[in-house]
Amino acid sequence: MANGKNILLRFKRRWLLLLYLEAVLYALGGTLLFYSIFQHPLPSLILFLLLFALIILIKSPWKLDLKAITAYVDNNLKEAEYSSGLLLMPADEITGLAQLQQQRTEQRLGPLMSRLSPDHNLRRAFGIFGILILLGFGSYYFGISSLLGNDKKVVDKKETIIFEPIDPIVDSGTPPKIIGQELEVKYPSYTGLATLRTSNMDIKAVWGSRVSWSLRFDAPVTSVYMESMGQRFPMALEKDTYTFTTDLNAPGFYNFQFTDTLENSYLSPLYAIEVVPDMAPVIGMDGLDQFTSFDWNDKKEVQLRALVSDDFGIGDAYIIGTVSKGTGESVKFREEKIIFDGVLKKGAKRMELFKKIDLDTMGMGTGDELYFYVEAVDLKSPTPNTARSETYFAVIKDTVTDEFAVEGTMGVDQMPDYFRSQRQLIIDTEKLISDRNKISKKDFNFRSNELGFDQKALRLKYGEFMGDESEMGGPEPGPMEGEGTEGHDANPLAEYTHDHDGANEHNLVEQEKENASEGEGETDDPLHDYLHNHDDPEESTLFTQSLKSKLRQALNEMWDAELHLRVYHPEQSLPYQYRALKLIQDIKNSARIYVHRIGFDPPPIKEDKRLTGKLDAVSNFTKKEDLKLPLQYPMMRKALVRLEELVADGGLLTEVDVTLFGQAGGELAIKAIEEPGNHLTTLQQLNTLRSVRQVPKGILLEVQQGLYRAIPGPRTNPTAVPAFESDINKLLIQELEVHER
Amino acid sequence: MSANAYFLNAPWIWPVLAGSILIWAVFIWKEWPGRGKEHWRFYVKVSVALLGVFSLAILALRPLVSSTETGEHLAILTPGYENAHLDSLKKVHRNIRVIPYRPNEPLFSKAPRSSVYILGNGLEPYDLWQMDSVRALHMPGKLPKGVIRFSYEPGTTVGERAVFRGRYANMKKGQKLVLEGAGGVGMDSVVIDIPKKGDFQLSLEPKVAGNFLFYLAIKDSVGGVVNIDPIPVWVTEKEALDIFIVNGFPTFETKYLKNYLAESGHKVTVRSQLTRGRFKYEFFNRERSIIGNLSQKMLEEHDLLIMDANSFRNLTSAERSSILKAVRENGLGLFVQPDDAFFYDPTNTTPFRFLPDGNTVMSLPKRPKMELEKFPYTFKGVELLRPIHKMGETVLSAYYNIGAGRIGTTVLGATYGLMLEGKGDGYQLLWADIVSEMAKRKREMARWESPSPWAYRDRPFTFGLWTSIPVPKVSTHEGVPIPMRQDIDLEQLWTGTHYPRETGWHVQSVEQDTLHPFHYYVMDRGWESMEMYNTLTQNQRHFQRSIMKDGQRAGVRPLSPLWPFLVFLGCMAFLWLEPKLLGP
Repeated sequence: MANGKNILLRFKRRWLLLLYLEAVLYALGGTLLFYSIFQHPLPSLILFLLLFALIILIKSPWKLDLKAITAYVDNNLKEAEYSSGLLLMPADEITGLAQLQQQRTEQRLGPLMSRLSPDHNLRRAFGIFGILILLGFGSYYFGISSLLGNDKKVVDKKETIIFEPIDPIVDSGTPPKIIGQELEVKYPSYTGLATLRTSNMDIKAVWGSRVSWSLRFDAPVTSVYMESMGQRFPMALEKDTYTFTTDLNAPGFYNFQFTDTLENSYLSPLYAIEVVPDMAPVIGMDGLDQFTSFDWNDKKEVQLRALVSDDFGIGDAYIIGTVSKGTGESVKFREEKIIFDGVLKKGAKRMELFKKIDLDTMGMGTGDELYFYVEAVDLKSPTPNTARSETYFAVIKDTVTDEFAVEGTMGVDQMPDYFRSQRQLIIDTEKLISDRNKISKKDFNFRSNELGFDQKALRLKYGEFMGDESEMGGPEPGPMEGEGTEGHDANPLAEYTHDHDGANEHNLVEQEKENASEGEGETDDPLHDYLHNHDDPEESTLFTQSLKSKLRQALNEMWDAELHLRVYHPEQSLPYQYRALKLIQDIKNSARIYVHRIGFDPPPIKEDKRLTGKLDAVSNFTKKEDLKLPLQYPMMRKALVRLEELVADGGLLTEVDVTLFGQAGGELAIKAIEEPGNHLTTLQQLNTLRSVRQVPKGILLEVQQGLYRAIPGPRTNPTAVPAFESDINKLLIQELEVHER
Repeated sequence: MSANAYFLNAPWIWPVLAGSILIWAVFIWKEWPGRGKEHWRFYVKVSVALLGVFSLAILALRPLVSSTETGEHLAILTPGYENAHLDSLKKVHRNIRVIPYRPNEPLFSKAPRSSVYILGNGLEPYDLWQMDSVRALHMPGKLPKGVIRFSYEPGTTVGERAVFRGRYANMKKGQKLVLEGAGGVGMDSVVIDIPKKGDFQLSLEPKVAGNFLFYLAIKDSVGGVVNIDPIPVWVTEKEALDIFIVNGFPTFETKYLKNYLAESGHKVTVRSQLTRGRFKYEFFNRERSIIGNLSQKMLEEHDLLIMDANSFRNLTSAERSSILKAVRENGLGLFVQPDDAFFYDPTNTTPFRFLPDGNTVMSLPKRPKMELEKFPYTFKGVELLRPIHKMGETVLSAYYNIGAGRIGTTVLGATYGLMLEGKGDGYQLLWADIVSEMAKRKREMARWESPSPWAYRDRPFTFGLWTSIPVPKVSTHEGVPIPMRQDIDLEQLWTGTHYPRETGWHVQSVEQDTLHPFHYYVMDRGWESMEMYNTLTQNQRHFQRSIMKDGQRAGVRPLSPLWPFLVFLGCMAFLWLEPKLLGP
């Protein structure tokens, strides 16, 4: 039955169409990917045909006959009741029942067939096609094609180097032309930038980049040079390509020059080299006061948030903190490198870093100060750029100084008198003597004895420093005076004193070592006496022998002074005390380093010369100087005037002009380096003027414009006003003067 | 004829009127006693006398009457004429003959007796002679489009602000006038706001010495060039001055000033006193020389003497008189750096007098914006005071012309503060003005002047020359002598005319003094609007006659004196005969 067969035939056509479409999609996708990578149109076309043929071969649509279709229909359509095969049979060859079934099937299948979709993978094909297209686009976008060495790109017409013959008069037929030009910029590895390949000859690259040029000519040439900033570099020939490689470390200009086989030279235009320096990281500190202060009972934490950014990546960032302890001359510093919280991502361009600095964990007490700043280092090699933030301060308020500051009017440093200095002892002794008549004998004796004790404490202190407290007897057996508890160790007092008399006032000798020496170390070491132990400050030759003996003398004086105090003869003890003070002062002064004050030191004036009013020695003074500032860019100025003439009379350029324009170009090049990207066109045009004799007026005007722009504005300068003195004017002025009177 | 009466001797009108009234009044006074009974005789006589006096006045004033001559009328069409004018003329004079104007060609073989109408901008000045014996009427058209006036100083120096002033007419709103420097760099521009007519000013500072063509371009709002005209400018380097500074003691003011002047290339000599009879001499950009007392001979070589007020006060009378002599005779400039005493010292020997004003700061609003320290005084206004710096009505620095030279001073103090504030430009501007104004004038042997700094090829170029050379011989750079004509009143002024044959820069000089050449630029065409406008104004000046409305115009001629004379005679006869006939 024709109608029934038609249904199946239509279905077959549909199926075939889908198969072919599938094949086209696969082939097209593959071809586009190929083209985007290799960019060869003809091979792409061949590939397309091949792929198409291959897929057709795999799919083999010719295998699709009506039998297969009926089988497919029977399998997929229940309504076909496995009778679609009947449709193919001529009605007169089958039985009546079969005919009935045939008609039934035909009626049923008619509307259903359009709903039945043939067995195809079109969706998959579309998916693959899409993926291939994306891949192709990606490879094109990220320049994979150039990575594969597939650099026969179409050079932009505008970027093509156009060589001008240096001597235009010689006709050499067709000069060699550029057929391939490439500039390769390898950025320093730390920048993480991919190598740039371009046909644009103007370079803008990071300092330290490696640049190589390659040129290919359509005809053989004898030599090719790259000229830059007055230097000439021959380009090496590799196969058919001339190459030259150099490191970028200064901005400038360059051009190419080549000589063809006929010994004619050709010059390219000028191209700019712009070197971008790698900038130091930038550190921003957020929400932190320059100065933070804490009370002793505060939670002493500094919240630090730093924003660090760099143009090519940050190498490291940390905090440098300095803790200062003590005040005045006894201030001590300790520097610490503090690492930020969290992991520092090396090479990131932007980082947000946090740190919570706890002043307590830094071992800071009241009155101590912390100075800190953030330092960041970038990845530049060999010497990285470093940047540091401003310095911030965190201070724990000193309770003592605070109190003192409040009662600043008192004028006396109210220190607890736990420990008296020698000077204090003398003052107190003198006071005691003067008070003798006013106070009771018992009081007098008591105070004298007390002073004696203080004198002992002082002596012990100095004795410790000498390292001879063992001789002096360590803790004194002083309970008989009833004050032994205080006396047996002078050290606890040190915490509360202003140790002005202390020999270690300036931390010349470290405290701990002092302490160590006062312990049992010496007694433990039997060899001690026989060693010249450099580690031991006591044994050191730091102090000269005379110093040691002086200290010993002082201790002896103190000893005598104490004796007299203890026996209630303070006036007899005074001379000893004075001597002791003098000796202690001597010792201190000998250990001091004096720094000369810097200031105006007037030359001595002889007394007999002063105020005499005689000027014999004073003479006239004459000075001669040439301060005139040289004229800037003299050649550019000359060139400008010459151009004006050339524009006016349209003459040919002479040899002199060529030299002049060359010199002007030299001056302009210096200026152009200072202001990158500003005067390049003019510079290029000046360069062309050197090789061409007959220049169109338009170019001359452009060069003139460029030069005029480049020449700096004149300095305001007075000058003589020209005036013609006519008799009439003279008469007028005379007349006016007469009237004025 | 309009209601207005025109008189040939119009300026006499008031004297004549007054005289007439007087004569009449005398007549009435004479007749008054003899009025008698017959009053009417008195009134008749008074009336006749009035008529007589009137005719006498007419005789003296010579009124103009219209002449209604008929004949062929001529209309000469010159560029810029308006069709409306021509149409209305044709309406009035049906047989009017229209001639197009061709410059430098005879207009008519024989001077026509009829009146001639000149329509449009008019005849070229060199053709105006053809109208000498012709009764002509100029009917100007509209003002030409573009720049109609332009003036500037063609000879300028590097760094000197060259100012270009002009007037435009009939431009379009939004168009721009652009001043272009060498090579066509835009240097300054103005946007036209009032398209009908207006004035403009452009300026630039030439950077390089040489002969340049700048351009004045008219551009539309999108930058397209509508018209462009060349501006020839002749730029020379500035000449260094010789400046002598005398100070009683070293000051910061002088330190900065001398550095600025020396760096600018001027020869500067500084003498500052160390102690009595001992001086510090500094020579910048010049050789050492022996400096003794200030004498006229020694000051001769200097252009400017800058002296602090204290030194000026302490001059010996011989020194003072020699300085004043140098100022008066040699043209030396003397600038006094003031101190406080200078302002209130009654024995101040300079011509300056001051009034306290209490202001110690002066702010300049623009170019450059800055604040200046000043002494709390102001110049006491005297007519001959020549201001150098002026802020509104306040004179900041000024000078007096004394003979050939000048004495100047300022109320500004501590100007070096500007340098410390980083306003070096302002400082330089301030002192450049003072020094330029005060310095000895560069005496020129010859001074050239011309109506415009450019000439046209094959057209006469008239120039003037001021010189004290007895008989100047002027020749072009090709060596062609140009005959010069001495002015009849001013013996130092000479005029000459040249017909340049080639375009480009021309230089001409006096043979006796080639140091002061005259540069001008010759072009084929350019500045058309301005040329038209010039022609227009010259024609208007030439044909100073009023225009009749609705195209009617008749010639005028003075009334023949015969008629008033006869009337007068009649009146006199009546007055003489009347008493004789009718009895007293």
